[in-house]
Amino acid sequence: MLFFKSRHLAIGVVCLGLLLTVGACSKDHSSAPVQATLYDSLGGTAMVQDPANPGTMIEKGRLGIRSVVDSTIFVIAADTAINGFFSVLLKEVTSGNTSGLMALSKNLTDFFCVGTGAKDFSYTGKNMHDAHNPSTNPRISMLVGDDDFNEFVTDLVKGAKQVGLSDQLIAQVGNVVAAQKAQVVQK
Amino acid sequence: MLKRSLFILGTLLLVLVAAVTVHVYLVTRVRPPDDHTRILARMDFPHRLTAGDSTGITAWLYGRKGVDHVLCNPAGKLVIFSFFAKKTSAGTVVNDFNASFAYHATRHLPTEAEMTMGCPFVSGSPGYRMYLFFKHLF
Repeated sequence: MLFFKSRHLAIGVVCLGLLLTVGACSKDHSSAPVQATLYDSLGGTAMVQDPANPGTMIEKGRLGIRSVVDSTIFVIAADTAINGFFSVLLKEVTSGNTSGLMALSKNLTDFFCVGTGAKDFSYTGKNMHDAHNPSTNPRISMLVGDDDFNEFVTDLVKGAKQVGLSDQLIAQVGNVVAAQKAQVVQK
Repeated sequence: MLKRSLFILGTLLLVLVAAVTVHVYLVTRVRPPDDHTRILARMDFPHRLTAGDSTGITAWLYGRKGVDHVLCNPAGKLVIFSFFAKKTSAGTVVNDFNASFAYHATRHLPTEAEMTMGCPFVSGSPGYRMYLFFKHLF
């Protein structure tokens, strides 16, 4: 009986050894150089102090994106060409203690984090086609035109410049937005 | 046996519905602002502003306690500012502004019709949809 137990134990040890060996090999194969994402260029996952919430940490990439988003929101809110689409910004409290400004800032930041390659965040809003179509999003009453979209991009560039983002990074963020144009513009 | 199973199933369903309702209420209820709650407000002017007006208004607003960020659009006849809700209110800022200057500024508040223009980036999460459902019910 003891012999059988020892034999089973030995077989188990051998199997475990094989599994570890195979695991180690496969790990070697997956260590190919990983291409840096735009999110990495914007600061990546390095943790830094959040200036807006003292005592809390935030990923540097997310902080950079949030700065651009917040700056852009101001430009949009002051832009009479498209601020009609963003009346919700002036809503004082939506739910909890979150204002329209904070809710939009979070949603847009989530969207851009995901769009630029962040792994630790998710965007839970509607996809761009449905979000900009009155038949699938009752919160938007009219379709977005080419001019509206271009004005949004112009405001985004202004907002990004105001927080000191380099032209090269602005161009890359612009590419993320431009990739959505076909989904957003439906007029 | 079947009766008992149905009773247990029904009770379980009721408990689950009650738990979800309480959760949705707790997540979506309006609570007093905290130290980090920032709110955006807009002041409209009856006439165009000059560059000098814009500089003066911006500087004055930045001098107000609780005002966080200011952006003036002279051609659009408006100024946007954000503030910390625990430190001041939009009404206070606008009233103080009108008491200090003769611009006759008014605070812009979107109408219900304007709100339906909506923001395309509205959250589509299940929690938010449930909130809208319950809001519609009550």
